[in-house]
Amino acid sequence: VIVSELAFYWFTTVALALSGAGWLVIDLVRLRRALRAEPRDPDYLFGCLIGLAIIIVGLVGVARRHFG
Amino acid sequence: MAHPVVNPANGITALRTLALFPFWYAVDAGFQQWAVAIILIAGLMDLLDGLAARVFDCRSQFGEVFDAVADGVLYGACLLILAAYTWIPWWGIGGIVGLGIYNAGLRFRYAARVGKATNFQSYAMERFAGFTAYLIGIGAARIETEYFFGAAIAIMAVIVAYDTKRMVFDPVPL
Repeated sequence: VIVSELAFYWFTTVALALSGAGWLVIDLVRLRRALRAEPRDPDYLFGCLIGLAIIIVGLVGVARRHFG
Repeated sequence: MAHPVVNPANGITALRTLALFPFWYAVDAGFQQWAVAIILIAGLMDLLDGLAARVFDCRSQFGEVFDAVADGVLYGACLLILAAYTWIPWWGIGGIVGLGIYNAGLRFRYAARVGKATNFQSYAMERFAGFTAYLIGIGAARIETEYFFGAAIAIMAVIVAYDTKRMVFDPVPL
Protein backbone atom coordinates (compact mmCIF):
# COMPACT_ATOMS: atom_id res chain seq x y z
CA VAL A 1 0.00 0.00 0.00
CA ILE A 2 1.41 3.36 -1.01
CA VAL A 3 -1.26 5.61 0.50
CA SER A 4 -4.44 5.10 2.55
CA GLU A 5 -7.58 3.76 0.83
CA LEU A 6 -9.23 7.16 1.22
CA ALA A 7 -6.27 9.02 -0.33
CA PHE A 8 -6.20 6.48 -3.19
CA TYR A 9 -9.92 6.93 -3.78
CA TRP A 10 -9.60 10.71 -3.97
CA PHE A 11 -6.44 10.58 -6.07
CA THR A 12 -8.04 8.34 -8.71
CA THR A 13 -11.31 10.31 -8.68
CA VAL A 14 -9.59 13.68 -9.05
CA ALA A 15 -7.09 12.34 -11.63
CA LEU A 16 -9.94 10.96 -13.78
CA ALA A 17 -12.00 14.14 -13.45
CA LEU A 18 -9.03 16.41 -14.25
CA SER A 19 -7.86 14.38 -17.24
CA GLY A 20 -11.47 14.30 -18.50
CA ALA A 21 -11.70 18.08 -18.13
CA GLY A 22 -8.39 18.53 -19.98
CA TRP A 23 -9.51 16.21 -22.78
CA LEU A 24 -12.83 18.14 -22.94
CA VAL A 25 -11.02 21.45 -23.51
CA ILE A 26 -8.76 19.94 -26.20
CA ASP A 27 -11.66 18.32 -28.07
CA LEU A 28 -13.84 21.42 -27.85
CA VAL A 29 -11.02 23.49 -29.41
CA ARG A 30 -10.56 20.84 -32.12
CA LEU A 31 -14.31 20.72 -32.76
CA ARG A 32 -14.47 24.50 -33.06
CA ARG A 33 -11.61 24.46 -35.58
CA ALA A 34 -13.19 21.59 -37.50
CA LEU A 35 -16.53 23.41 -37.73
CA ARG A 36 -14.83 26.59 -38.97
CA ALA A 37 -12.59 24.85 -41.51
CA GLU A 38 -13.43 25.26 -45.16
CA PRO A 39 -13.99 22.71 -46.63
CA ARG A 40 -15.09 20.70 -43.61
CA ASP A 41 -13.47 17.33 -43.03
CA PRO A 42 -16.35 15.06 -41.92
CA ASP A 43 -13.96 12.36 -40.65
CA TYR A 44 -12.10 14.80 -38.42
CA LEU A 45 -15.43 16.20 -37.22
CA PHE A 46 -16.59 12.66 -36.39
CA GLY A 47 -13.34 12.08 -34.48
CA CYS A 48 -13.99 15.21 -32.38
CA LEU A 49 -17.54 14.05 -31.61
CA ILE A 50 -16.26 10.62 -30.57
CA GLY A 51 -13.71 12.37 -28.35
CA LEU A 52 -16.54 14.31 -26.69
CA ALA A 53 -18.60 11.12 -26.27
CA ILE A 54 -15.62 9.50 -24.51
CA ILE A 55 -15.36 12.50 -22.17
CA ILE A 56 -19.05 12.29 -21.29
CA VAL A 57 -18.64 8.57 -20.55
CA GLY A 58 -15.63 9.37 -18.35
CA LEU A 59 -17.30 12.15 -16.41
CA VAL A 60 -20.50 10.11 -15.90
CA GLY A 61 -18.30 7.24 -14.68
CA VAL A 62 -16.64 9.51 -12.12
CA ALA A 63 -20.06 10.78 -10.99
CA ARG A 64 -21.39 7.20 -10.73
CA ARG A 65 -18.45 6.19 -8.59
CA HIS A 66 -18.73 9.19 -6.32
CA PHE A 67 -22.50 9.51 -5.99
CA GLY A 68 -23.73 6.13 -7.16
CA MET B 1 21.39 13.76 -36.92
CA ALA B 2 20.62 11.08 -34.31
CA HIS B 3 20.69 7.37 -35.11
CA PRO B 4 17.26 6.25 -36.46
CA VAL B 5 17.12 3.19 -34.16
CA VAL B 6 19.46 3.73 -31.20
CA ASN B 7 18.38 7.08 -29.76
CA PRO B 8 16.91 8.48 -26.51
CA ALA B 9 13.29 8.39 -27.73
CA ASN B 10 13.42 4.71 -28.68
CA GLY B 11 15.24 3.97 -25.41
CA ILE B 12 12.34 5.44 -23.45
CA THR B 13 9.87 3.48 -25.61
CA ALA B 14 11.75 0.22 -24.91
CA LEU B 15 11.91 0.99 -21.20
CA ARG B 16 8.15 1.65 -21.18
CA THR B 17 7.46 -1.82 -22.54
CA LEU B 18 9.33 -3.31 -19.56
CA ALA B 19 6.65 -1.84 -17.29
CA LEU B 20 4.62 -4.91 -18.23
CA PHE B 21 6.54 -7.16 -15.80
CA PRO B 22 6.19 -5.10 -12.62
CA PHE B 23 2.55 -4.47 -13.59
CA TRP B 24 1.92 -8.21 -13.86
CA TYR B 25 3.66 -8.78 -10.51
CA ALA B 26 1.57 -6.05 -8.86
CA VAL B 27 -1.72 -7.49 -10.17
CA ASP B 28 -0.70 -11.04 -9.21
CA ALA B 29 0.17 -9.92 -5.68
CA GLY B 30 -3.01 -7.84 -5.42
CA PHE B 31 -1.03 -4.59 -5.07
CA GLN B 32 -3.72 -2.43 -6.64
CA GLN B 33 -2.12 0.94 -5.91
CA TRP B 34 1.23 -0.18 -7.34
CA ALA B 35 -0.50 -1.44 -10.49
CA VAL B 36 -2.13 1.98 -10.97
CA ALA B 37 1.17 3.76 -10.27
CA ILE B 38 3.02 1.62 -12.85
CA ILE B 39 0.41 2.33 -15.51
CA LEU B 40 0.57 6.04 -14.73
CA ILE B 41 4.36 6.01 -15.11
CA ALA B 42 4.06 4.09 -18.40
CA GLY B 43 1.53 6.69 -19.62
CA LEU B 44 3.90 9.53 -18.68
CA MET B 45 6.76 7.77 -20.50
CA ASP B 46 4.50 7.57 -23.56
CA LEU B 47 4.37 11.37 -23.53
CA LEU B 48 8.07 11.62 -22.74
CA ASP B 49 9.29 9.60 -25.75
CA GLY B 50 7.52 11.97 -28.15
CA LEU B 51 9.06 14.91 -26.32
CA ALA B 52 12.53 13.30 -26.43
CA ALA B 53 12.13 12.70 -30.17
CA ARG B 54 11.51 16.43 -30.68
CA VAL B 55 14.15 17.70 -28.23
CA PHE B 56 16.92 15.40 -29.54
CA ASP B 57 15.69 15.68 -33.12
CA CYS B 58 15.58 11.91 -33.53
CA ARG B 59 12.17 11.34 -35.12
CA SER B 60 12.23 8.43 -37.54
CA GLN B 61 9.83 6.11 -39.33
CA PHE B 62 11.21 3.23 -37.25
CA GLY B 63 10.50 5.20 -34.07
CA GLU B 64 6.86 5.76 -35.06
CA VAL B 65 6.31 2.07 -35.82
CA PHE B 66 8.21 1.01 -32.68
CA ASP B 67 6.07 3.35 -30.56
CA ALA B 68 2.83 1.97 -32.03
CA VAL B 69 3.97 -1.64 -31.58
CA ALA B 70 5.15 -0.94 -28.00
CA ASP B 71 1.76 0.62 -27.21
CA GLY B 72 -0.07 -2.37 -28.67
CA VAL B 73 2.05 -4.92 -26.81
CA LEU B 74 2.04 -3.11 -23.46
CA TYR B 75 -1.61 -2.05 -23.37
CA GLY B 76 -2.88 -5.27 -24.97
CA ALA B 77 -0.97 -7.42 -22.49
CA CYS B 78 -2.06 -5.25 -19.53
CA LEU B 79 -5.71 -5.68 -20.54
CA LEU B 80 -5.24 -9.44 -20.83
CA ILE B 81 -3.58 -9.58 -17.39
CA LEU B 82 -6.41 -7.57 -15.81
CA ALA B 83 -9.00 -9.86 -17.42
CA ALA B 84 -7.09 -13.01 -16.41
CA TYR B 85 -7.15 -11.89 -12.77
CA THR B 86 -10.85 -10.90 -13.15
CA TRP B 87 -10.14 -7.24 -12.36
CA ILE B 88 -12.04 -6.39 -15.57
CA PRO B 89 -14.85 -8.38 -17.24
CA TRP B 90 -13.80 -10.89 -19.92
CA TRP B 91 -16.64 -9.75 -22.21
CA GLY B 92 -15.12 -6.26 -22.08
CA ILE B 93 -11.77 -7.24 -23.48
CA GLY B 94 -13.43 -9.79 -25.82
CA GLY B 95 -15.60 -7.07 -27.36
CA ILE B 96 -12.71 -4.65 -27.81
CA VAL B 97 -10.35 -7.28 -29.27
CA GLY B 98 -13.11 -8.69 -31.54
CA LEU B 99 -13.95 -5.27 -32.95
CA GLY B 100 -10.22 -4.53 -33.26
CA ILE B 101 -9.65 -7.67 -35.33
CA TYR B 102 -12.64 -6.82 -37.55
CA ASN B 103 -11.26 -3.28 -38.01
CA ALA B 104 -7.81 -4.62 -38.92
CA GLY B 105 -9.44 -6.90 -41.52
CA LEU B 106 -11.24 -3.90 -42.98
CA ARG B 107 -7.92 -2.10 -43.37
CA PHE B 108 -6.63 -4.97 -45.52
CA ARG B 109 -9.81 -4.81 -47.59
CA TYR B 110 -9.36 -1.05 -47.98
CA ALA B 111 -5.72 -1.51 -49.08
CA ALA B 112 -6.95 -4.04 -51.67
CA ARG B 113 -9.52 -1.50 -52.96
CA VAL B 114 -6.89 1.25 -53.18
CA GLY B 115 -4.52 -1.19 -54.89
CA LYS B 116 -1.45 -0.39 -52.78
CA ALA B 117 -0.23 -0.47 -49.18
CA THR B 118 -1.86 2.51 -47.50
CA ASN B 119 -2.49 3.75 -44.00
CA PHE B 120 -6.20 4.40 -43.48
CA GLN B 121 -6.49 7.34 -41.11
CA SER B 122 -9.32 7.29 -38.60
CA TYR B 123 -9.31 10.24 -36.19
CA ALA B 124 -12.06 8.61 -34.16
CA MET B 125 -10.07 5.37 -33.74
CA GLU B 126 -7.03 7.42 -32.67
CA ARG B 127 -9.16 9.00 -29.93
CA PHE B 128 -10.36 5.55 -28.90
CA ALA B 129 -6.76 4.28 -28.71
CA GLY B 130 -6.09 7.03 -26.17
CA PHE B 131 -9.17 5.93 -24.22
CA THR B 132 -7.85 2.34 -24.13
CA ALA B 133 -4.85 3.52 -22.09
CA TYR B 134 -7.29 5.09 -19.63
CA LEU B 135 -9.30 1.86 -19.50
CA ILE B 136 -6.24 0.04 -18.14
CA GLY B 137 -5.88 2.59 -15.35
CA ILE B 138 -9.63 2.37 -14.69
CA GLY B 139 -9.40 -1.44 -14.63
CA ALA B 140 -6.38 -1.43 -12.32
CA ALA B 141 -8.12 1.02 -9.97
CA ARG B 142 -11.35 -1.03 -10.33
CA ILE B 143 -13.51 2.00 -10.99
CA GLU B 144 -16.98 1.11 -12.34
CA THR B 145 -15.35 -1.42 -14.69
CA GLU B 146 -18.58 -2.92 -16.10
CA TYR B 147 -19.93 0.54 -16.90
CA PHE B 148 -16.68 1.76 -18.52
CA PHE B 149 -16.09 -1.36 -20.60
CA GLY B 150 -19.74 -1.52 -21.70
CA ALA B 151 -19.58 2.11 -22.82
CA ALA B 152 -16.20 1.53 -24.51
CA ILE B 153 -17.60 -1.34 -26.60
CA ALA B 154 -20.62 0.76 -27.61
CA ILE B 155 -18.38 3.67 -28.71
CA MET B 156 -15.99 1.36 -30.54
CA ALA B 157 -18.93 -0.29 -32.35
CA VAL B 158 -20.07 3.15 -33.60
CA ILE B 159 -16.53 3.97 -34.80
CA VAL B 160 -16.16 0.61 -36.55
CA ALA B 161 -19.56 1.02 -38.25
CA TYR B 162 -18.54 4.49 -39.49
CA ASP B 163 -15.12 3.26 -40.66
CA THR B 164 -16.77 0.28 -42.40
CA LYS B 165 -18.80 2.74 -44.46
CA ARG B 166 -15.67 4.72 -45.31
CA MET B 167 -13.48 1.72 -46.15
CA VAL B 168 -15.98 -0.50 -47.93
CA PHE B 169 -18.57 1.77 -49.53
CA ASP B 170 -17.18 5.30 -49.95
CA PRO B 171 -15.16 6.01 -53.08
CA VAL B 172 -11.42 5.64 -52.55
CA PRO B 173 -9.33 8.84 -52.84
CA LEU B 174 -7.30 9.08 -56.05
